[in-house]
Amino acid sequence: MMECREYIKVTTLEEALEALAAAQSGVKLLAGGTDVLVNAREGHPYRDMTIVDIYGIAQLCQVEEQADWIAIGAGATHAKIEQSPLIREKAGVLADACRTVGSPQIRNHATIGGNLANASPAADALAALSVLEAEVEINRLGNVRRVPLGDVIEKPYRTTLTERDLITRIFVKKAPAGTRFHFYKLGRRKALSISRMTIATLLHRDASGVITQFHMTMGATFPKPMLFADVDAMLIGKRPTRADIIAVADALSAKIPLIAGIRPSTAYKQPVCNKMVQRILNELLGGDAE
Amino acid sequence: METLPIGKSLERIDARAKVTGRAEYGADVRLPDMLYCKGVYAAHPHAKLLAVHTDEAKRAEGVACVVTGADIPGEKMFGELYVDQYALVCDKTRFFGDVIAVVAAQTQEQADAAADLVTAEYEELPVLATPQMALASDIAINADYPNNICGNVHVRKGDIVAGFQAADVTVSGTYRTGFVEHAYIEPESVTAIPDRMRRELTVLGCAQAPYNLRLTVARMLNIPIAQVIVKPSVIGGSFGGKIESAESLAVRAGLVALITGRPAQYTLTREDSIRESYKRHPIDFDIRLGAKRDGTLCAMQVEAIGDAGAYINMSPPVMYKTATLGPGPYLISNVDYNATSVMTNTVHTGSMRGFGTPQAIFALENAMDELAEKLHLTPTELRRKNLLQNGDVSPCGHLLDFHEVSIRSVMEKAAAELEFDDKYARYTAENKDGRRIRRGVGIAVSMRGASIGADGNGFDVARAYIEVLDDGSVNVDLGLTELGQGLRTCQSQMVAEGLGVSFERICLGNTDTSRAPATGACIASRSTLLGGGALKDASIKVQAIMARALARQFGKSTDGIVFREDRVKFADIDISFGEAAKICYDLCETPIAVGTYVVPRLNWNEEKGFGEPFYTYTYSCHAAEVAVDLDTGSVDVLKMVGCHDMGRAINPAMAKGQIYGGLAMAQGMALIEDLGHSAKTSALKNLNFEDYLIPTVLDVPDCNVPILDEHHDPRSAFGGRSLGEPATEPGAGALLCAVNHALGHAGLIRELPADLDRVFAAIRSMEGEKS
Repeated sequence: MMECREYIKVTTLEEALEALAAAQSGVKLLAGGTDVLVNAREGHPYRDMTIVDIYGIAQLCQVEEQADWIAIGAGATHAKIEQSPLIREKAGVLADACRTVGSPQIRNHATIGGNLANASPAADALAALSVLEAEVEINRLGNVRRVPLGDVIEKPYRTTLTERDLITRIFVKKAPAGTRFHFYKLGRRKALSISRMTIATLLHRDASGVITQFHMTMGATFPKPMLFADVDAMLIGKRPTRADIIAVADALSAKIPLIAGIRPSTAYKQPVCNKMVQRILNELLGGDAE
Repeated sequence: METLPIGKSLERIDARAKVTGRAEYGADVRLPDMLYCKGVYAAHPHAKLLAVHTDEAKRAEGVACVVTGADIPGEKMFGELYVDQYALVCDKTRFFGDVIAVVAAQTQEQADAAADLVTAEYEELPVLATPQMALASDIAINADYPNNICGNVHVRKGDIVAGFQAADVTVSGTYRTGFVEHAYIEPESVTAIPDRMRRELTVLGCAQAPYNLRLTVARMLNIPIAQVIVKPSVIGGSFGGKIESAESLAVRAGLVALITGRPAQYTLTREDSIRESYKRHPIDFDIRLGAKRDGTLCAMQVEAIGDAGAYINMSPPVMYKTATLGPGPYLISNVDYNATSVMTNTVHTGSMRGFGTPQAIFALENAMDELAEKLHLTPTELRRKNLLQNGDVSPCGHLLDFHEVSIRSVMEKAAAELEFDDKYARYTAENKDGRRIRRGVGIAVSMRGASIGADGNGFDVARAYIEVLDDGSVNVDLGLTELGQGLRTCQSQMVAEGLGVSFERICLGNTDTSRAPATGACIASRSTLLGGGALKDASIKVQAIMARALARQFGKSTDGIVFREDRVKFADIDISFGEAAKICYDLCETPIAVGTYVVPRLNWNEEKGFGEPFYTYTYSCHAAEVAVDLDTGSVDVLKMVGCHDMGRAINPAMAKGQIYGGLAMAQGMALIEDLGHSAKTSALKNLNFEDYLIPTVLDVPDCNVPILDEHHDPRSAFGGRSLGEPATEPGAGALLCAVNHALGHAGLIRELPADLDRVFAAIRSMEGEKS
């Protein structure tokens, strides 16, 4: 049983905004509940809060194609994203990431917006959203703004959002035809597993084999979603050699102690990251690296 | 009509109720005026408990009563063999799962809230979080055991010194295992219902051992045994875990029920269940093996130290099985196997499927692979050289001349199904080519004593009640519990064959201790052997009563009467069983009997650690194939095979079900299950299934294969032995043998679980050595 001060179920965006405007201090948005209801079992975190249940608002569940972007409603479930032909074609790394989340029950219920707002560093979608240069649309009591993903999540389980902010859509860049995606999840088991590390990769080459676009980053590793322009630049404009791949692996894995600090897990994560980056790039480049 | 049901995969008698949700589990019970309980856990794992303050909790909304150890009217401690466990702590806390008070309220939420208001005063004592700390300390956790050692079994055969002197090759090393949680899907729940007429309690819920529970409640709450009635609900898995764990809940709920006069339900959350219930023993093994150059084993020496945790529980008999079954199914003349259990301030350890042997087989079989590697033999070659055969003497001194010693056939069938020899050679070769994902195969064998063994000499008994009604239906009351393994269906099949009637006549109701005669519990892989023996005895007695009635009715001798396939035949008479039953009642005869089966006394010399440790044995082999990723340390289980000789499969589909489940359980123990025990504070970090990981359906291979290699056992009434424990016994050993084969070094990883970090660290050390 979840304890709360008040529970409000809304069915439209307008009602949600009204409820957010009217509620007294202490508001928690419920967008599926796969985190909120679990948290509610320990102590009484929502006893003095108003729960606004935005799950299932149709306006927030659309997946739409725009000129350069795909707009994903924050209320879309991981299952919906995983199965969207549009996302699979033009932002496939996100579909792959969503497919690794929890179990079918969780994927059918948990939403991408809720996942983002919970800001777990182990959230599987985050690294994929990073390489798709995601931006987040936020509605604060009717005022809409759009900010880069990295500016929304501040650190583990902490966002820059206020309790009146409602994530409405997440925009991901459409990748050009021929783009190769890769999503790797390392867990302790094959389902219902919290990631030890994820690696998301987006790579595009022109007809001559020269890399024109490249993003690669890890999840469940850093305090917030990050892209590394210096690492990405190491391959762009090149037909990568074996040495280039090793250099990228060294550079990316070196970010772990640099950003997350040296932790007990570093001795595991840094070498694993190095090896897996090499393996993924070799696979994506189809053994073309010399 | 199923007239010869044994050996047929009949539908489980509880299947439909379970899959449609009609079955009532412990926590489904709802009664008028029922109270809900919540325990308050000790804040310190080792401390004198100076005072418990309950006044504030008593005043909280909805609270009916708050009880502490002082309120227990009878004995303050319980335990089946060693009485040392508190249901409610009286003077001293011994681990974090100790309960110092129980709050009972109108709703669970009110009980939970009020439990937070209970406070206590402690005088902290040093925390002995590991056996090493406990052995080194002069503080006794239990004053009766001043050196903290609570159990020791020392098996000795031959001359160990001469054995090693005769050896051309020896291997030695230390193997370690961790705590393992039973992970039954249903957390513990009991409901205690006070009688309105007299001081009597009825207890419903998840009692694996209802007669043990009855005795504990009777002793601690001062009620005659006859006035404690236990009716186990449908039980959602147990694996040995719902014995003492259910008893302490029943005492606490029973106390509340007696004080308030209201039914009291006590259901644990998953976290509380993992916190207070006992686990599988972590055991450290210092193992040394010696062999001749041709692979003939000549000496085995093992020093095993098990962590008993805060209460003795089943530690001494667990060590008995470690020491007597840990040497495996090998012909070996010189054995010295010393198993000791040490008390600590960690969660207590007790009965769990395998009972001290999955750990030992893991250690032994990996050491056997080390030996094979040193001798340039394959794992199967070394085992073929040494496995027992008919007429051999077991490692403990048991002459095996009474049944088929089938371990060779069992191993060959498992090896053939996995294509072990071919894959062993192939993977050994291909793994040298620098690939980063390597495959490996492993094989492990075991022999398991059926039932308790010689440390149960004189009390290893089962009883059963059979009543033939005048319509020919058969009422069976049996105290052996259905834990999900299919026991009641199998026992029904045995009664039908024992009585010579159709399966459809058998009505095996739920256990009720006021109806079914007291029986030893459904533990120790004993129910097929023991239950079968008792049912056979009762069947013979009932048939004798019926024969007497029939002789009177027909005026003919019933010598040589045959009850078979639902017909009764003697002289020139051939009638249906139903007609025969009706005749009994028409003549005022009473076709009712209680059957008893006692395991014959075993010739075991405890002092010398030598003799017949068990009455009979089940032979097992697991073979495993894995892929290990050298870049991440992740282990992918590709296939497991479990081949077992359980004598005779009473219900083959359910026997295979046991094997599928046993393989999955072994996989969890081998690769991922970890309670996150702190060697400093003794706390367990992983208290729910988000943190304590067990294999999912995606981790367990779809292509696992169970094989039944049946050789009817003349020592069992219906030829069968239980498979519960054998089904998981050698699995962890086989998996680690496979992982170590993939890594190219037998015995490289010697500690469980072989999780990502541990496997990766082993790979790093191995590759570091190379470079």
